[in-house]
Amino acid sequence: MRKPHLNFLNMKRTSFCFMSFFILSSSLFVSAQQKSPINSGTFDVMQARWLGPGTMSGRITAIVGNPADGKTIYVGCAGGGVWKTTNAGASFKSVFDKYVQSIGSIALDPNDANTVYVGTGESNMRNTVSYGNGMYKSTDGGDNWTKIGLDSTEHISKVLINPANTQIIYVAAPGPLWCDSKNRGLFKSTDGGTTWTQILYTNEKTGCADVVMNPTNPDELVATMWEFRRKPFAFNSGGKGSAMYKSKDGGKTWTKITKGLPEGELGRMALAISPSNPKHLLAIIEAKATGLYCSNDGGESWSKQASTSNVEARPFYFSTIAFDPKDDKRVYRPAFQLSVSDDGGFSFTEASDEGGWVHSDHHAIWINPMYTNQVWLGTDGGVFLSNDRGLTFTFIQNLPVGQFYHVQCDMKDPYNVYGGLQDNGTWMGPSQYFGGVSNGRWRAFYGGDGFWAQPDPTDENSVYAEAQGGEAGRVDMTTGLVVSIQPMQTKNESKNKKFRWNWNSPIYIGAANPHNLYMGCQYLFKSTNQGRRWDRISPDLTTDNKAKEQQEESGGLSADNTSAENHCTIFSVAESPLDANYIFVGTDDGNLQITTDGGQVWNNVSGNIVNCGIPAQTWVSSIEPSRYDKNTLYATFDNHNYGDFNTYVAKSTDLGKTWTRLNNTEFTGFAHKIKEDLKNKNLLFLGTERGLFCSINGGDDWFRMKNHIPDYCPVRDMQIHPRTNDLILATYGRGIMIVDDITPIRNMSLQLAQKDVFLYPMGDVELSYGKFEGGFPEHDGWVAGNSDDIPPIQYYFKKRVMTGDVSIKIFDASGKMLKEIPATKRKGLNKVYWDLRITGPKTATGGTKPDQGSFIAPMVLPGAYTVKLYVGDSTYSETINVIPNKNGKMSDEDRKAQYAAAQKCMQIHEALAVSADSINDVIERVKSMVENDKSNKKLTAFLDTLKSFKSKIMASTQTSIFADEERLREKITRVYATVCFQEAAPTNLELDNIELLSDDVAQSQQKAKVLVKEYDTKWKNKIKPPVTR
Amino acid sequence: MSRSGVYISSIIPGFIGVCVFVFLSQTRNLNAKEMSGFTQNQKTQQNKPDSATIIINKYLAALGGIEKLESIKSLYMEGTINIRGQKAQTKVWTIGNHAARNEFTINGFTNWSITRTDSGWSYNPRRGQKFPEPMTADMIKLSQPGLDVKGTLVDYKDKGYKIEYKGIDQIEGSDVYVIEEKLNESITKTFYIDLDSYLIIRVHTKSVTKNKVTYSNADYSNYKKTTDGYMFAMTVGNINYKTITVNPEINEAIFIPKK
Repeated sequence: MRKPHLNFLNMKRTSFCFMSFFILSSSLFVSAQQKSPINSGTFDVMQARWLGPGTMSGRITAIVGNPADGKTIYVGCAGGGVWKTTNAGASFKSVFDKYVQSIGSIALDPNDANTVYVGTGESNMRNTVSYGNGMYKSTDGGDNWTKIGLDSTEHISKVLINPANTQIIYVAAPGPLWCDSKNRGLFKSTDGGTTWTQILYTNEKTGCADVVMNPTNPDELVATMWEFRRKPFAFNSGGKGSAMYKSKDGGKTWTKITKGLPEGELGRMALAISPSNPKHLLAIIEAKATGLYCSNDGGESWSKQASTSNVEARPFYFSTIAFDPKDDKRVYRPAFQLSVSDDGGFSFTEASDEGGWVHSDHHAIWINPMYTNQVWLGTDGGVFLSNDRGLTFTFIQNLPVGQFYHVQCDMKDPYNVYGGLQDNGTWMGPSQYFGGVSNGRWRAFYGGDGFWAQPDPTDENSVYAEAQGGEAGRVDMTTGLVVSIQPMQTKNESKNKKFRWNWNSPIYIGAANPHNLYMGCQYLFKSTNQGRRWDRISPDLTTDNKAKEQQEESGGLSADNTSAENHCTIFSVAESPLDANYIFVGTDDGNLQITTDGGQVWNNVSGNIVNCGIPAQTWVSSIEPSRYDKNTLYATFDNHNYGDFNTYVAKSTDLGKTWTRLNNTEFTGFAHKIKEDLKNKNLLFLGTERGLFCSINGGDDWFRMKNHIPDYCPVRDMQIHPRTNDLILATYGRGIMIVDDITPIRNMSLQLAQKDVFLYPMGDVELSYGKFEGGFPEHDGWVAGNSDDIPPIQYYFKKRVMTGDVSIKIFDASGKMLKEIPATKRKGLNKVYWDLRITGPKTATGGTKPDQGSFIAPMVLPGAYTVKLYVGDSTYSETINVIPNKNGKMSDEDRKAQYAAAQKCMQIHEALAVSADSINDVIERVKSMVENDKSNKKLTAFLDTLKSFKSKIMASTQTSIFADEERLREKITRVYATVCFQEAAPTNLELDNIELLSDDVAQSQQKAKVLVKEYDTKWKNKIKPPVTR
Repeated sequence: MSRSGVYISSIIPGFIGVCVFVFLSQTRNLNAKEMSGFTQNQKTQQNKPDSATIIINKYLAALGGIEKLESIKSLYMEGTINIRGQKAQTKVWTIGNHAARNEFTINGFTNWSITRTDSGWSYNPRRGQKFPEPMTADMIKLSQPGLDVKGTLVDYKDKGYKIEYKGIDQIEGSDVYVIEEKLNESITKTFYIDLDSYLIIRVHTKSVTKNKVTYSNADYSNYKKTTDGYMFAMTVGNINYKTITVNPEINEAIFIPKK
């Protein structure tokens, strides 16, 4: 007997096949159709504000100028891209925003300053260094760039151009920091960067640190090779691969140089060749005994010089030395400080602080060869400029390239942002300020390298901040005084268990209970009284791998142990917003530990993560417990310390038992932070070393956010402000950025995105006379703009409107049109602003000076208004409910009085305009008549009478802005503007003044009628009519 | 056939077919994304020698065709600009490669500028100018492309302009072809042309004088076809044109500066 199901299949095979095909095809077709249409351009109009600061800038890695004009300078940054000035630093423009932001070297074609080469990936190989993707070239002074190869070198230390043949370019690439690679060494192009040849290579561990060229014989090169490796727990500089080489044939053949160099293994070697005496070279050579070496035979042989500690300092990190272009004896050594020699490097002095403190840690220098007094210096805190050969410097205040590790915000209005900067302490600044957020509004309140900064939500005067290695304090913001809160070892702890604090140790305030303060080393500590008492609430949560805890041996040839290599530590901490007992900890050695009982029991779920495709024990860079379900969490993982730059982010809905990897072809860079929206659980943001990404559908689809955010901006942290809905970004090279009010992104959905047109509901809009108005602009370096005072009208177009007009009109409740506003037509979100005012009146024309009265209008009264969006033949409407400002100073009566007074001014303006029009018309006619009949004295006298009348109603004589001429029209505008622009009812005298002017206008109207009548009766048909154009 | 065989024989063809469909539907999007993003080398590889010509020809066809455009000898354009609710009037008269006059009128004041091939003047009574002022040599030079009523992309080779296709980028969310046109050492225009309609969305102009470099953008929209077959953008920047007349009679006297 045949089984029923098989019988069914046998009988219906054909139709079953067809149905299967159809169903499967349909389902996949439908899912293809529903793929998100949202992309980078959809929300492009929501341009991020660059808050800065400029007063504390970021690490500068390259500076080069155009010697022909001395005022065109390119500045390369560790994470801030390339900035260009064409006015010697009066202003800078960011010219590299579409590309990776880590810059290693910049070179200008000596024959064509518009041809610029950028080598990406700085080579200051500290633990948090970013990475590049090869070489770029511009032929139009930085307006446009083309990628030209060496993509996998990751770090480039120098780009050198042959001045005799600028198609020949050399690139020194130390290469990848975290793993072996063949993509390192010295490269050469002979066709302007189109193709490349590796001309000096040692092995997969050794790259090229520096190269210099004899300017009088460009085929003569000296290059240094450097063996180095960084691991998450150690750094090694130096090895058998390091050596110095010389070529006399443009790199075809090389000779190893040893004469006079230190014995044993060598490390990083920095070179300088004197442009005025190319036989003279200097080198900082890292060895067992690092020193300054000198050659007087073009690098064939060397001898050690006497040198200072600054000259020998940290050679892997301070790898710059330079000669004055014209003075063979003047040498500059930017290092911890700037050392200067006038005897060819035998002895050095330090630069002075007379012009102001010069930031320590220097990596770049450019001396103007046409004017060698001018020295540009690149430091870990920005760019400094000297005009006295490096003796004193002034700080360039308009480069907002700070490297923030984290950001936090408070609930003040306007809110403040807080964050720690690489090298540069911890700062706070306002999100808005009168006239904009200038440098002077920022405040530094903690030293060292800055990381986490947490304003205490329970105590508005306290902020928790830290320096490297967990050195944390509670800062009293009213006095600036600090109380240390870093947990310390006690006799109850094992004697051998030294606390291991990460370079960037977490300080965390509880999301469910803001009285909970957490800090993590290998243990998690919790305080409920602002750090006055700590309790350890966990065992060692790390792998405690002893092999990775030998930091005192780190550095290689030069000991370098600054807590940057501390490992087997807690890196991320989070408390569930829904339950303070749910605490999540991520470690730098890949453990992800969860407790649901406040720390009694911990469960390490790291073994489950690998099942979703993330390598085992990958550094947990952030954890984001969901605010919608306490079993759901997101996490980011960072494996770049092992040479893996993939973007790892995953989600679990069962407290870490199982994980789903969130992935997308758009992702670039290793992941730092994932953030779930405060109100829409499907809205996610992801910050990586190479970009900011957004998903509106729970992580199924992602797009890169490029709205005035560099395409590959390193984003390390972010917050969403609960009151303003701003997205606040901590970028590692572009300061703090704010995307104001992400509500349109929050309210977007796949269904909505399929509509051709969508007009967002406006809801309640507060009347506002402005919040942060300023006076004269500040001369204070970088100044960031404020957010909008008034919420915009927002609408969405699925496609850009190419044909047909688009406009917006505002109507009152009676249907009267109040204002027409020009509308934009871009694809995606559009923003148009209604200033909540009606249209101004027509004012009298024909005077010698313009009058602003027609551009002035009163604010509308509270009530319901209709905004209509016209798109071709279609109309879309929404209601705007205008409400009084909660913090405003006007009562309903005040508003009505103000509106009435403004309306009166408008009426008398328009009445005067009618009179003026009629008189202007008559004047023109009579003028022409007079031209034809110059002897007619009565006609001439009538013309004078007309002009005299006109001169009484509007300025008709003076044209200069320095010559006041206030007549009736101007008087009306003056009181009209006063009434309209103040947040107050008109005063009694203002009202009386309006009445006076109203009477004057009435009299003018009468007079005008008389004059027009005189023209009509006496002159109009009596004299030959004028010829009109 | 086994049960699994039935399943496989029905599912696999469907699956393959859908995969092909999805792949093909995604290809163009991928190309656009790659070209606008990270992999600039790929963008360069797609810079085929004749891409610029093809795109420009399609653009010219969208405007009405090369013959129509070449027939334009003069233009009159009249429009308005909305300034805080008030409408300013703008009028432009142009005789191709000869002279142009721009007028801007608001509140009774009319500013104007005149550009000729070898001279130029401007008059701005709103700023208190009493007499027309001559333009500098740099300003005259930079104003010359405005005398080309056909548009600089028409017959660009004969004009000696250099064209380069720069790939695909995104302007305000829309994918665009990017064509760079170098007119001379001082002026470079970049045209952003909509992928679907081949109409210009934006023109970016870089002007270089001995004193400085300036950049400007003009956005184009509200394209309309005239009754005689010309396609014009009726909105350029903030200007909404109400009237565009091709080959009107223009009195040369308006190109003589007088107050």
